[in-house]
Amino acid sequence: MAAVLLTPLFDSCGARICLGRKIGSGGEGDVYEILSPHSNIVAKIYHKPLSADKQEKLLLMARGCNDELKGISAWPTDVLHAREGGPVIGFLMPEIADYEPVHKVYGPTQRKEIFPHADWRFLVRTAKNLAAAFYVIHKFGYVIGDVNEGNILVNDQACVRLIDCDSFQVRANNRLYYCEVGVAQFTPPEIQKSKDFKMERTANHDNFGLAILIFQLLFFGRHPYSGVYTGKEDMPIEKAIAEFRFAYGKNSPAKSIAPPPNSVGLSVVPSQVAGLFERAFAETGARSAGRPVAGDWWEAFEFLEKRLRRCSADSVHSYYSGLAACPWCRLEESSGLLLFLSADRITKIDLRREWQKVEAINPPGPLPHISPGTFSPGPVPLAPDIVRSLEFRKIRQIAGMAILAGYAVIVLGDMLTDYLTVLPVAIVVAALFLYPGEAAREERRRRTNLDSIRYLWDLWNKKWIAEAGDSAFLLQLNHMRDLKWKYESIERGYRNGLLSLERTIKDRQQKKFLERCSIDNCTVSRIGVGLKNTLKSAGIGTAADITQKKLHGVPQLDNTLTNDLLAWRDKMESNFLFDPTKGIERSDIHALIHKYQPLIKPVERDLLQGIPKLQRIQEDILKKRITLRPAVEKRARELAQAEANFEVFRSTPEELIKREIQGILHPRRFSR
Amino acid sequence: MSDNTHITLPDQQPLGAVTFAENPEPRCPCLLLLDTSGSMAGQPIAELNEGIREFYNELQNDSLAIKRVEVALLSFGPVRTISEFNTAESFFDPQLVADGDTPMGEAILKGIEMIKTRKEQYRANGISFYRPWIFLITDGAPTDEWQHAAAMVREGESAKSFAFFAIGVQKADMKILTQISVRQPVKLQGLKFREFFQWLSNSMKSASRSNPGDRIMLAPPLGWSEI
Ligand SMILES: Nc1ncnc2c1ncn2[C@@H]1O[C@H](COP(=O)(O)OP(=O)(O)O)[C@@H](O)[C@H]1O
Repeated sequence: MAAVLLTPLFDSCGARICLGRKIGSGGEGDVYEILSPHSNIVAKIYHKPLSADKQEKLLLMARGCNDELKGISAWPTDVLHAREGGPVIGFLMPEIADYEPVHKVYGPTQRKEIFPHADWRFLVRTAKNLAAAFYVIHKFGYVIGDVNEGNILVNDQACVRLIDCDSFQVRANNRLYYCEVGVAQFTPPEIQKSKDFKMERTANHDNFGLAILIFQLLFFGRHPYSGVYTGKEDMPIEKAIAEFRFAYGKNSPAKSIAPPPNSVGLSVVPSQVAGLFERAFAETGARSAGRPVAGDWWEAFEFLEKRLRRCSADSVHSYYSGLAACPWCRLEESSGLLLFLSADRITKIDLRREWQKVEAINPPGPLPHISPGTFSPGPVPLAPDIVRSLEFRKIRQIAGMAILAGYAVIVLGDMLTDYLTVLPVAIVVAALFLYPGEAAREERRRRTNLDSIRYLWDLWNKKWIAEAGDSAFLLQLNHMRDLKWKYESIERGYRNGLLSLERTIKDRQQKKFLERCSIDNCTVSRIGVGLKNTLKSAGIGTAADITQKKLHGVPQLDNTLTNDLLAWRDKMESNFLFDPTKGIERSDIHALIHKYQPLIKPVERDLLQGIPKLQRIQEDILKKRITLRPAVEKRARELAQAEANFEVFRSTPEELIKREIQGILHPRRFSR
Repeated sequence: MSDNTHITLPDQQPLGAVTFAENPEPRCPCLLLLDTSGSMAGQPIAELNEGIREFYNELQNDSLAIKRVEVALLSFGPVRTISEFNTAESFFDPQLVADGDTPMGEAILKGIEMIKTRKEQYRANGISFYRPWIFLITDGAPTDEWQHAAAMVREGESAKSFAFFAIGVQKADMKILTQISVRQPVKLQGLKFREFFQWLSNSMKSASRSNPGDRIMLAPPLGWSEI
């Protein structure tokens, strides 16, 4: 493409055109800025050489260009050649800047982001302007053909522009230049089945696409043929279109299709508009000129726009006044949707929706219990020599105890004659008890083993609790709750600010009115130019400044003059007419927004970042529960084993004997 | 969650239904069945993770695809749902780890079940959808019973319930893949996961735009496959 950028091109009169930056790129070509002096003009340069047919078509379109077409579309204004007299390689067209594809406007999520101020009135106006654009194209005998959600653009004033005009169908000199493309969702039933688009398209075909787009604009992106289908088979949109299954129509039960949950239907628009939809989507529409034309829609929206009402509960709700109640309040309440943002909101996030995301993250729950206590292994059997040594020790211990007992009896019976016997008896008993033997070594070995395994277990258990436990999750969740609370209280502060603005709306309107009544216009005869200047230098320039107190500070004023001025002010005040429809002044709201936005922004950011973080923590914990578990369980089992091994030595001889007996009764418990 | 009771929400709404009303665009579901068996450890799994991240990135940068393409991730070895069907808006990093065997049969059955469930949600909420795509990516051979899964794939393909594609990586057993997939399996060139996902996101973007209906519009697998 670099080559294209460097070498100048020529328009049909041979004037040089230099391309600038590339601003867009499509399937067939790229779109470039034009270097000055041409402003607001861009060029589309095709990737591939054009057929003679297509070149001719572009030339004809450029010749047919007029202000009306240019006003609603990127109509080709002239063709471009690489060399004078050479083939057409592209064309010039008006630049369309700061417009967004219509799908971002009818889809609620993106609309709230790009056009946060847009309400239903805005959507109705967009639909009306869309009809106006189609009207112009059809008026000059062209057909759009490839009506779709991407080549219709909308700006923040609800103005509509069509791009990709080079694909339009052109009729000239008794010839037809086809539009050879189309998108199924906007293609009418009668040509749904055709394999390609090498055929004559009609305005009636376009009018199907127009009705679809209008439906999507008015009904929050719902496609008229997407509904709850009761049949068994899959029902993609194109099939539903081909079979006339309009989900919202009078006939929909017969077509086995119903409107989706959380949607609104034709009951929220005037019957006139509803009638147009029925006509556009019914079988009769497929007959020649059977569908409403652009002008019909225009008229219907003229009517509707005059009958829009603001909801008393929520001022961003604008709806058809023929209804008994605000349909958006009802829909928002039943669905949990937030349909519109007020332009005056201080944030663009929808807290409720974000919080649902938080709620959707399942807490990992308490840590699965792993402890040595859950395992009950038997001890590793002792080697025969150690068993013998242990038995010998038992015998020694019993003998020692017997000697002690006998000796005690002697002492207590006062039968002791020689106290010197204490010493040898003590030595004998001590030897019997303390003689090390094979068993003691084994005991020591098992104890050190137990100690080191317990140490390992402690380490792993700590890791298990720290990394697989849910405390990190709960901590983050609590943090999120704090943020939510903070967010809500800031928003509440802002709302209260708005409310108090609303309550004092009349006072402030009056003050503004008086501020516009300059004392220069005061016609009281006694108040001349000189006095007026004195007043101004004392800071009294308008009727709003005239108060008893302020006048007091001006020495030149006597009582009559003061009264004259006060009377003038009262007279001005009586001219003031309160306009309840005007609402709060934007500048007042902006002051509030400036105050609250810096407060809420960081909270909003932390909230948004906190959600994926919470998710990550949860996943981490769940992952750790799987990956750490075998290692932790292994340590628990080992510890249980080591404890059981050591237990053998810890028990008293009696217990050992009992266990031995149990071992004989339930051999499985001890066998390994 | 027991300690959740002290926070009060305005009113509880099922998340799915609200999302459908906020974004009623027709959906193009795409399920990725990802082999995370031990043999994928090291570079293969790192490249796969990177490829998936870029895949989401691509989808997020397309204002229509972000509303229409729904991706679900299922890994096997062992079989785990990494992500339910969701538009790319709510992407999270999968961070797949390779360990385990290759229960491919179980993964395919679970995947088919996921598709069935999602379709039911679409139907109940009046959301149009296109034929789901399933991509099986594996570097080995099933370690479980796969014949039943293969039969289910054949059944789903002939009923046009979904389109099933198998991608073999490195030492994948292409013979078994041929028996599982009705469509000719494709062998990945080296570890060109990124190229593969680039191609897949492009295919999904154009499918989400021009409504393939019954036809499956896939560009030829150039730049990443061994054909
Ligand atoms: N008149 C224009 N002014 C500004 N940008 C334009 C204009 N026409 C097209 N573009 C940009 O160029 C892109 C490609 O244009 P398009 O005509 O749709 O190409 P193609 O028909 O080859 O797909 C559009 O998506 C848009 O961003």
